[in-house]
Amino acid sequence: MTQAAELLTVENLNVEFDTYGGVVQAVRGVDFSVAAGETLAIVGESGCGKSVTVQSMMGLIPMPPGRITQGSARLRGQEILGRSRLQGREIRGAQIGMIFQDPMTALNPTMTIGDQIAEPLQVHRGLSRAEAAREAIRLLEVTRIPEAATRAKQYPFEFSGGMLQRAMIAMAIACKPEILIADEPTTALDVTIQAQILDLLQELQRETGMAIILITHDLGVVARMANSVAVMYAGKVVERGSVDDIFYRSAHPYTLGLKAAMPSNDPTREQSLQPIEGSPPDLFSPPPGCGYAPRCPHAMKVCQQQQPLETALSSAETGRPHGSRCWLHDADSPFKPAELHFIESGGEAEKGAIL
Amino acid sequence: MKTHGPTPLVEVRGLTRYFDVGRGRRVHAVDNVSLSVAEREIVGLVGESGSGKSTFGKTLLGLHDKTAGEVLFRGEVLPAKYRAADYQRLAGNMQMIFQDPYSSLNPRMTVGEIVAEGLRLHTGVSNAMARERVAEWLGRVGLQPDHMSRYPHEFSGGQRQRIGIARALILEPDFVVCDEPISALDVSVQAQVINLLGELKESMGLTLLFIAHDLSMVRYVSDRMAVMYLGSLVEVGRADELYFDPKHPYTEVLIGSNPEPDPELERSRPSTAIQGEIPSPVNVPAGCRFANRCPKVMEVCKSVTPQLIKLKDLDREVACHLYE
Repeated sequence: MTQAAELLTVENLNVEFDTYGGVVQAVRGVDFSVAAGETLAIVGESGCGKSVTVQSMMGLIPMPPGRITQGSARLRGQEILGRSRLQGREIRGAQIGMIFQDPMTALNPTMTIGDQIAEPLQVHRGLSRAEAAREAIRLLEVTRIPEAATRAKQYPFEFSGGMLQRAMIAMAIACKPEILIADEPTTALDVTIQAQILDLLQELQRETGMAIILITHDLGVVARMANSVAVMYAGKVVERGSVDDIFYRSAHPYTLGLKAAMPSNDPTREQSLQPIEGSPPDLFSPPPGCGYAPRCPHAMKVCQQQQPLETALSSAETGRPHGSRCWLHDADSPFKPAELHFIESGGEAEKGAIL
Repeated sequence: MKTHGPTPLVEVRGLTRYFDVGRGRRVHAVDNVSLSVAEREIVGLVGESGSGKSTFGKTLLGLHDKTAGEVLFRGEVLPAKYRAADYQRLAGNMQMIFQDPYSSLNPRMTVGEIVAEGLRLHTGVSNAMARERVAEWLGRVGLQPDHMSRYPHEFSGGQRQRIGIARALILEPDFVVCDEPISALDVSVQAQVINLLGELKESMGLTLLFIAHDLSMVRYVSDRMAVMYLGSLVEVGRADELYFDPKHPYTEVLIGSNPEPDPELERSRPSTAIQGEIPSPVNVPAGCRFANRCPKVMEVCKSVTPQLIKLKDLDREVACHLYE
């Protein structure tokens, strides 16, 4: 199933947190992989575990209360999970850079922007203070910040949201990482600024060949940026595939539900919004079966009882595997693949007749 | 009820709201905005943060004093500065649904108290009657009547927004300003809240001003759409027409920047990102406010402020020198 040149492969990642209310199973067996130069979007709603997934790779999960109970994440074959703070530094910031949703809180308000960008250069690349300061200004220019030399001497409060996100990107790419993780990088920004930041990320990717892992809940941003997509729900990847597979050959009922809940901008196809009723399951005691079953219009008896495994679906020319974790697609499913179009057309399965 | 003629339910004429921020500086939050909303119409107001759309909504409802201009409700001119008696009188007609379902509900009040507060203040209903009405309204917004005794923290974001809707609508207002009612919610829950608003609009004959920055959702929800930039309206028209055929260069950029959930479309369309950011609304210079970022800027734009003018053969108003 895997392609030849996977840069990062995550398998069966499980992360939980101790809280006063009990143990939260935030990530429950996540698999995905990213190839060099490509953009993987991890999509899902708040609480689905998408941020925890990438934070655990970066060693950003506070332990305790957090715990990686199982799984591996290999960067070019080298395990990156479970490293000590110090060992983790070689990965964090150097091979993998990260930008966050809210640049105002992610940056240190008491340090100038230039000093903050220079810091990783001194730590990871061993530059001298003066060299690092010059390099910081060059990086600000790379991220298209006007008057970079003046701006480098300013503090975060003197920057607008869009400019701060550029500064964060400058910092994240300072050590020429192979992977840039962008956790909701444009959620706090207006659309015109979002367009600038997305353009910048794509340009940098073209120039450096870095892979991008983009975490977002916005399917528009996914369509604009991603080569491949992993859709997460209740701590699991429920569907993954190329961006075209996910949008045009969506298989999992949750992916279909998300699409139906958004207004389509196709004027020839005016439909009403179909919300997904209910809310995601409580991850203190996740259901024994599929996490989506309580909200799924096509749920069968087996869905409540057993977790579905990933089924490989026939993938179009893209070459990327397309898989869905849904009993409807299982080999023993009462439905043949050809019959599954009823989901797309919004019809109800005749459950009683089959079970 | 003599409003079935051409009189709009709400008419805003030249509404202006400045904030003095010291040292002679003045924020032009809303500057000479005129907009009318017909009975049972949904008007969507879009714009980037800092464009003044929330201030417009609040000033319209009297939550801010008006610096200039007037608001007419069913033809009656509302006061420039509300006193207690004005709120008392108008609360039953005009209400607001807020953006953040976390900060807009008092955490120390039960849901029952929150939803009943308007009834207690503005009508003389008995406690028993109020409880009955609250129970009815919780049901109407998709919650359980026994949720009344719970506190806001026990609810999810979508449920809290339903509480905010019940609070706003229990007085059965005619006109509701919805200020970003769904932007704090997840996609699957947004659709629940939008459909709920749609049902209530139909059953109660509501008129809505729907303020949001999500362009696709505003187009979907609204009959007409108004685009705001730095305190001024730049374009007003029928929602679909405006979305698919924008005339003002800013509207064009705004809609072009909005990524569509369609990979093929996204691959085929050129990037329309424009440089620069929305300027500070402090001491706004003369001329068109979009001039410094506009891809089609002309010499006249830098000195003369364009007014909203109606386009020929189109139900559209545009404030741009290109169309004069």
